[in-house]
Amino acid sequence: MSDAPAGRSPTQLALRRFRKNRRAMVSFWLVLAVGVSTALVPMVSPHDYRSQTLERSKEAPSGTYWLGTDPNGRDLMVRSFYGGQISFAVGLLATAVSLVLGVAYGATSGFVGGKIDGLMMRFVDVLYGLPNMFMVIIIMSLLGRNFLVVFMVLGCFSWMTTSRIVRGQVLSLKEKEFVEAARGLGVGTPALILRHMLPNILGPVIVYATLTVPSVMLQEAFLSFLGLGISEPQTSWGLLISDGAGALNPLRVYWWLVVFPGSLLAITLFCLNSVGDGLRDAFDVQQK
Amino acid sequence: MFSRSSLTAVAVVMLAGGCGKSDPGVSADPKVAQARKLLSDAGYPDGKGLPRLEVIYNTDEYHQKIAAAIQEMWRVNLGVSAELRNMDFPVMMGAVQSGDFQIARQGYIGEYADPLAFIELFAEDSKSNTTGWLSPKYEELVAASNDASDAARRADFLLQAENLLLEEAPLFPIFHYVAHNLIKPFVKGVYPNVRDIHPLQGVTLEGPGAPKDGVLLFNGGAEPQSLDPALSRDIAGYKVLMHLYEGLVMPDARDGAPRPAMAERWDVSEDGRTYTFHLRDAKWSNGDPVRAEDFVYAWRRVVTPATGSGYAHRMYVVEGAREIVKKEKPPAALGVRAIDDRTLEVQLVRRTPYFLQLLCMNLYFPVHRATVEKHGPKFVDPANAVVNGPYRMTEWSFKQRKVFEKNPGYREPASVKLAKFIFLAIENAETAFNYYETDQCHWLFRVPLAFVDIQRPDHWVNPYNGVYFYAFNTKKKPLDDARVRRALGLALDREKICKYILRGGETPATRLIPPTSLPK
Repeated sequence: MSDAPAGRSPTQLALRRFRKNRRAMVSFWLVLAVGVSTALVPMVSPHDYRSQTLERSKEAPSGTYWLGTDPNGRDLMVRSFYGGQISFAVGLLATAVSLVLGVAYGATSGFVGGKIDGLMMRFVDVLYGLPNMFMVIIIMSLLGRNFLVVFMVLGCFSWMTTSRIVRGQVLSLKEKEFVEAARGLGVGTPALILRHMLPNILGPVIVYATLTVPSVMLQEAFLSFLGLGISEPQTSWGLLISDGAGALNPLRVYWWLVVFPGSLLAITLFCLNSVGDGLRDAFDVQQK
Repeated sequence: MFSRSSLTAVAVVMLAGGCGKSDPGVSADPKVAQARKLLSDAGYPDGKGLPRLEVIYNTDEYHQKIAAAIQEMWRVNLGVSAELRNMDFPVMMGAVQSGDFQIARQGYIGEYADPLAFIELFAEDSKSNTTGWLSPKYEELVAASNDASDAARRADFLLQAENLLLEEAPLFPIFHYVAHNLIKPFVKGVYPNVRDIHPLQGVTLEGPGAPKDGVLLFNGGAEPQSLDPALSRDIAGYKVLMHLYEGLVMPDARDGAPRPAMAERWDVSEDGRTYTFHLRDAKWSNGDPVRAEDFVYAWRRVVTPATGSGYAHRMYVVEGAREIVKKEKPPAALGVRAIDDRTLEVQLVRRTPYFLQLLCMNLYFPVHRATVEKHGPKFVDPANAVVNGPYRMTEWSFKQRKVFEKNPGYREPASVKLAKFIFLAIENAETAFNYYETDQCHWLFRVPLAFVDIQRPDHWVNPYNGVYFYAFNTKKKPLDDARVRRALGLALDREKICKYILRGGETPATRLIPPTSLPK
């Protein structure tokens, strides 16, 4: 550490390591590109994601419809990218909700310790014990269908693992010398958690977050399939794929209905996982 | 972290803003123009001010595509926005029956080929009328048609009633069904008919590919709501019950028309109100004789309020039935009596030209009294059931399969050519199709949307006596206004829905009564 050039924080060092990781960087730019195009393509395209030309249903990719049309004669390209917006938004927002909840809960539990820690962790055990999807479905049917509700509820049911990880980290950090030093210098509890502990637990949290995004995207697809998530004419990757899967059959294959939304989802999930791996490697020196 | 938050921001902006590219366009279609005028007369010009509508349908590929097309047509033609909600079929039916809906997908297959079957659906007595719409004028027309002695006048009253219904629009029809069957070429003795009813006892399996064990595998689809003849009101239930029980008359395999069954012959009085049925010598599967008293018991059971039959209104033509259901008379007051063990006399409230067709329905089937009284609702279980039809059910695995074997005590064993068949319970049309293509199933009565237009000798297509429609809840604003309801029905391009989404030869419906039930 003493040899390191002055003025470099551990975070900066980690980011530098991340930038040197080619696979992670390519993935990062790819996922960014997909994300930006989900916003841009529907704006630029001459087609609307809702408008149907029933005469031209299930058309193969052509000059007019670059990625073909769906059974209702809607442009698949616009719908794939528009669906991406929803998948991305649900994935990222739900992850954000779960991060905020999980980190706050885990940090509090670990930092306070003692009986309260025990109680808080038992509560997490109880939540773990409840069938996740079942609870989501019950709440969704109580609150009604709404885009906001979808990601809030999904987020509210995926923070438990994050909180466990954070708590474990906080428990071990609490005993470290630099924390004691900070405390000795009179740093208050909120500042201690925010400034000294959080940066140290960021690594595993980020990794876990990048893994939460794809799992939430898949859960959304499942909910929408049951009729609880996104509804027509809105769409998401999960819905597009499950609709398209119906077209995979022994006699006629409308391959474009599955291939395009499927590859967008696959690229995104794959890249998010690579970015997550890269971040873990960058933040966690000991593993190398 | 940076990329995440900015992406989120972009996505949220996009979602909030939407892509408001197309406005309600001015369509050249005069019906759309009329719809727009109606909507503006009702106080919602260009759909402005109209609360968001909610449409419910049961989860299924083709219901979803039709609903999405309707939603888009309303948006483009009227500027009306609607939200779609899909749910499981029983959940949807529950919502519809409790009035907890705005607009719901419905379908109805006429139990008999007569306009009245469809008109009665929206009459006061009908438990299938979930729209909340009632009209004294409509009741008068239905009554007048029942009293009319000559067929032309009767038909005229019924068509007037239909016009009134379409004018007031508690529903809007989309199309008239077409029956699609996929039947393996080795299944012989099958006749397409407008009711798509196929008694299997006359079927034989012969020719290349026929299963060696001689067992026909038929996909029965969704599990029926009930196998109690008094309660079952779905087609899935009828397909089972018509093999287990035998009524006075039964649908013929060739055309679905009533043919003598338990009743060998019958006399009709001059005024058409008294039927005297002469029963055949037959036995229940436990050896007891089938007596006229069994019919009396079964019919009284249907109208007894405690039985809770949602179908009892189909028996209102029998003297006293209506009053018994409404608890004004005891069940014994029903106009049916056993003159002796083999003679049954039925008193009707009026001349009923379609009474024999009604008799084919499962609520008119006899049941074995001792079994029902002993086992209660469990009398339908294979272990308990005592039946008088050509088959017995020997196994019932819920949502998997039902096994039917020839009933050795059936009155006419020689007529049962197929010794055994199995009803599979595959709900998903694509899955069923894959079973069929891989010879794990021999008969599908529904073809997945992707294949409805395939031309193959094993693909049978024929007109089907039913209508696919959407019902409005006329008790809810803004659907309590007939102008809004009519506008919503008018703004649809049914030809396009039939031609490009259904693609199976369905006919666009601007009226309720299907061509198969129109007066000749």
